[in-house]
Amino acid sequence: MSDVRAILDVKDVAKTYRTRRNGRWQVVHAVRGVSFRILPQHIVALVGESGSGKSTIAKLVTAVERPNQGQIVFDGRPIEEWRRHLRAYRRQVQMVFQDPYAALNPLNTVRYMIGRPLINYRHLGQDALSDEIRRILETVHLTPVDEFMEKLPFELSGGQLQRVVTARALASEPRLIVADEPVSMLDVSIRAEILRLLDELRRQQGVSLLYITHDLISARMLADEIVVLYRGTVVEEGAALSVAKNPRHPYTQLLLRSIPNPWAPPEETAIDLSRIDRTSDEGGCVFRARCPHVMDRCAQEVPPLRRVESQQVACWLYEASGVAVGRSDP
Amino acid sequence: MALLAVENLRVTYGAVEAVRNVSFHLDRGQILGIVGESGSGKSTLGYAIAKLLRPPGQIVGGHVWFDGVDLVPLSELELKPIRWRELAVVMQSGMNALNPVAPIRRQFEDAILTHRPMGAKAMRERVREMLALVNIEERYADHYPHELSGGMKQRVAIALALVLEPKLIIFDEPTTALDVVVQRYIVQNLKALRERYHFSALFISHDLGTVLEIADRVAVMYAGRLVEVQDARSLLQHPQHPYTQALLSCFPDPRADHIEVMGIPGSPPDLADVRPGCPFAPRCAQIIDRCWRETPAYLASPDGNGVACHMVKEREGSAYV
Repeated sequence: MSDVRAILDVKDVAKTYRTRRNGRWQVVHAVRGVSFRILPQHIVALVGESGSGKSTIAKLVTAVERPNQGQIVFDGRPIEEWRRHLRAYRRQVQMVFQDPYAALNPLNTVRYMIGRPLINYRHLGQDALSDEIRRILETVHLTPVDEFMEKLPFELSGGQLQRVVTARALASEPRLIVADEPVSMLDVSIRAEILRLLDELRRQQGVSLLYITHDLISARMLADEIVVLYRGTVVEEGAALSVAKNPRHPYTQLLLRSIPNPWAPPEETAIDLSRIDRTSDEGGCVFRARCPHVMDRCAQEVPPLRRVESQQVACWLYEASGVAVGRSDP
Repeated sequence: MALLAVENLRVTYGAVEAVRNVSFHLDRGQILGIVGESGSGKSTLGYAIAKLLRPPGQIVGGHVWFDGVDLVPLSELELKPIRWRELAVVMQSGMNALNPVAPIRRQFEDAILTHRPMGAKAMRERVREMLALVNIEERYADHYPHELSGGMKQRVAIALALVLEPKLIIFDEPTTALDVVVQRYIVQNLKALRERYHFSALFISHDLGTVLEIADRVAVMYAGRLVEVQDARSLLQHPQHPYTQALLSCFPDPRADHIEVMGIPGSPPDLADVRPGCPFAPRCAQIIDRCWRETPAYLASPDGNGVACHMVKEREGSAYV
């Protein structure tokens, strides 16, 4: 492992929920033994579709939910310790939400919304407050600042609103920002500038970012590392470019194939239509019911993450070539 | 004769003109993609063609020639024999268009009994056949919508639109809100269905990548107007309008070694705020003086392609008349 201490270390975390279905209580495994770490100033993308557990992980990392198993360590201290200093934790771990229209109070001005965390967390007085609000609005490129200070949310476009949400997250000077699908509600033409903004924040403000998305391409553009989730399990992880360009796990391969691609000949993007509605029973590989390469073994044992070239892949296909990756906890 | 010819169509919501003088045609058996971002008027256009606008939305000018008949002046009663039998609509997130308190089978039966009644046995057979088309097992016919996944519900909505074999289907964002693998599935499934049923379709979406995969021709909308219409292949290779070019660059080839998406600076204009000049000018990288003064007319060539841009006109001159 690297000598640099991770800002966030998620260790073998699991979360289950109980739901009632047809009058019977059932256990839903939202997250099953997930581990990953984020180094300072790094961006890690959690990529998955609905039901992958990516938003549950956001709730666990932001201490909104407690895991049933495993541990989350932020800045060297377990999250359970941080719970006694929740205010300090919240100051350092902020969120950017998916829907900027819903994340901002429609009755508050931009000045008020950026000012609140400055007063609450940084205890700024009236004089310093205005200057700091201006500085933060400049950081997220809401300029000329005077034009935006007194605006209400309905007067701003989607992209501008998402900048306000980002500015609000930055105001408390966090060390980690959890961004849950921050661009998926925005028009494609303005997504790129929000992604560029997030990248800039990491470079210039030194924050780390957990970028949660369903979009492999944006993950590749923004993140240093990609962690691919399927039904609460990490199926593949590694350097962003290699995971997104040369995926090893059959699920990541399916994701890549599914991205609209008018440049590719149709046979290159064609997928097997017969398996899409299937879900795997408990035990074994979570993806086996939809996997085109399924083998007997996949139903019997859960594949561990193994190193396959530059990636780590949880798939029995790589048993011969891969080297099992054990997690060595200090 | 084209199956659908839209002529100078104008739609307003009160003082706001959401569709501004739009003209295009759709040939039989073709899929025309209509692409645009939020507020471009693409969904309003689809609803206007299907005569499904709700007040304050109303058609204030133009014609919608469908199979030789202008739908604009027709009353609800006159439209009834056309709806579903001739022209069907798949709504955005079809899951929400299904009746939540009726099993899937009954939704098919309702459509059939209202628009083209048949016997119980034939109807049963038809439901089985339609569900098979979208790869859904027959047992789901007696399930309620909430028991199906989002992707299955959207496939049911598509099968439902096809049940009376209409000539034209209007798809409004049929793949938005679905997971990417399910989107791929729907696109592939639609292509296969079209081989078999030869329906024509308008495929309305913000997702240019998907539209280019499924459509024969593509119409690009911006601020209520058509800015470009071209064959999908040539649009992909040679986009003419600067907006189309910029939008296309937002959809990189996922297999490329290097991906950089610049996006389009600024945001679309407020439709209530009418100014002279080209509506895309404030975001355009290729403007000339004229763009600020004069709104470029949409000029169509005889083959049905067209573009609304001063620059293209200056460059190509005679190609568009």
